[in-house]
Amino acid sequence: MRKLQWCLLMASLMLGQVAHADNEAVWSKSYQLESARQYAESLVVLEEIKPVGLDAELMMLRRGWLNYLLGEYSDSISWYKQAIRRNPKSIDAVLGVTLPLLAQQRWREAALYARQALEMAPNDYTAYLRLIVAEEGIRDWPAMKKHAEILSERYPSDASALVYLARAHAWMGNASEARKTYMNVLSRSPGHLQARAYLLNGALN
Amino acid sequence: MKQLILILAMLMCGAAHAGERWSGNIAAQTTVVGNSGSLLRAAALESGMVVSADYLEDRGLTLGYTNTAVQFLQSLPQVNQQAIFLSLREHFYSDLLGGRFTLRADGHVSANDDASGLTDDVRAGAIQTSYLGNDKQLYVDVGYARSNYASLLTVSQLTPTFGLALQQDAAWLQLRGYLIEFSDAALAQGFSRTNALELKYSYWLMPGSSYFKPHSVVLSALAGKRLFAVDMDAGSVANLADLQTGGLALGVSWKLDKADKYKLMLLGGQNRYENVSLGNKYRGNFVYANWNMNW
Repeated sequence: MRKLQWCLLMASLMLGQVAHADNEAVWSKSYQLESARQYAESLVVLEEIKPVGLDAELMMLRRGWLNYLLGEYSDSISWYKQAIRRNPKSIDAVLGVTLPLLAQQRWREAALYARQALEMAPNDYTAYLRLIVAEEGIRDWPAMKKHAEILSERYPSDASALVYLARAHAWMGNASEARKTYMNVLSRSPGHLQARAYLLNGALN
Repeated sequence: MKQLILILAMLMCGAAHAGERWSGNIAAQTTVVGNSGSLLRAAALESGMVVSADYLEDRGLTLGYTNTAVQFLQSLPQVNQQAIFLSLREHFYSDLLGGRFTLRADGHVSANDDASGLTDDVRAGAIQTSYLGNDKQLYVDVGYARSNYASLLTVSQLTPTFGLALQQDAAWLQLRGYLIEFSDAALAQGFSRTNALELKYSYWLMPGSSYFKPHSVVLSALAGKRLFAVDMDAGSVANLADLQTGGLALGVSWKLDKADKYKLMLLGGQNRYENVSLGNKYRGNFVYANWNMNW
């Protein structure tokens, strides 16, 4: 009986190694196809990964990402949400789902996940930026201004944070603050088209 | 009814604070109409409230209440009406067509003390399917409404709508057709059908430092003939109105705070009507005010 148990254990270990080796080949193929911009083919390869086991979470994240690149936003959202259910602490998944949500202009849900990401990773640049984009979509100018201010404090050399801060000021009718902030954008990103357009004619495009 | 709206609003406010998944809007509105050239109608006053709530960008509901008083000439008694309106909507996202589809279902119930009984006890149901592109350049909807009157008149209405963005997204043009059929011409001022086209042009201004600078202006016009129409934008049934033969209106809205939370809209215009049985053509000059708050 003990021999039988030992044989079964060895067999399962060997099978596990074979499966792992097989998955490595699948991952490699998927990454290669993605870098060649063959996103659909890269997704097809991932069908070999089972939705259980060690690689399942990565498979869900990859499917979310590749579907996003393909413009299949609803599928992308579905895969990222599966990944979140599997691992609610995954910042990867929570930030990932904001991308297709923003693409479908589901601003409030995107903001919800961006805030969730910030709870897990305070001061995360990407989470703040996506929250700000969502807040602009919702037209919540005070929140957009507040978060763009925080982001520009944390990342003072970054032009994007200041662009969103300037836009928030402009939408709130704070023209002089918007102009000042756009001037700061030009220091960080000389020739920035939106900043130059606003400083020239006072309009956002 | 007012208590129900208040309770609903409180519940939604609570939900908004709890989860930030709910958003909504409360609007108070009033319309004052003064008729000129009418042999029967003097004036009308309409006031009401609309509460709207949405769960994320998935689904939403709107509840409205309107009280209308129509004053007549020649010592005819005033007609008072109460109307409620409920609208439910569900959004679906299409990656193939790059936009959002919305299915909407509305219900209207109106009751008044019209002695003739011709306009009383109106039950109307409407459905609408709409598409709005992700880039917000194009909007299409098709709506169908069916209204049943106490007089046994049934009104069927088809409203195809087309909208598009103009002037680098600063403006929006919307065209809506009203194709209305009546089950009994004798109960619909002799008409078996009426057709009308409504045009609405909206322009948004960049916010400025002055509070007096408008947030947007809207110009709307109606051509053709329209009777007993269901207006899916306003959430109302025109059961008390005579045959409408035209209209022109100009509206201006202001943001009342920098956060875009409070807005005020004032709209003024003139509608042209005809009481066909009397052969009386007249004008209805109106002013509409709408105060609304987002949460």
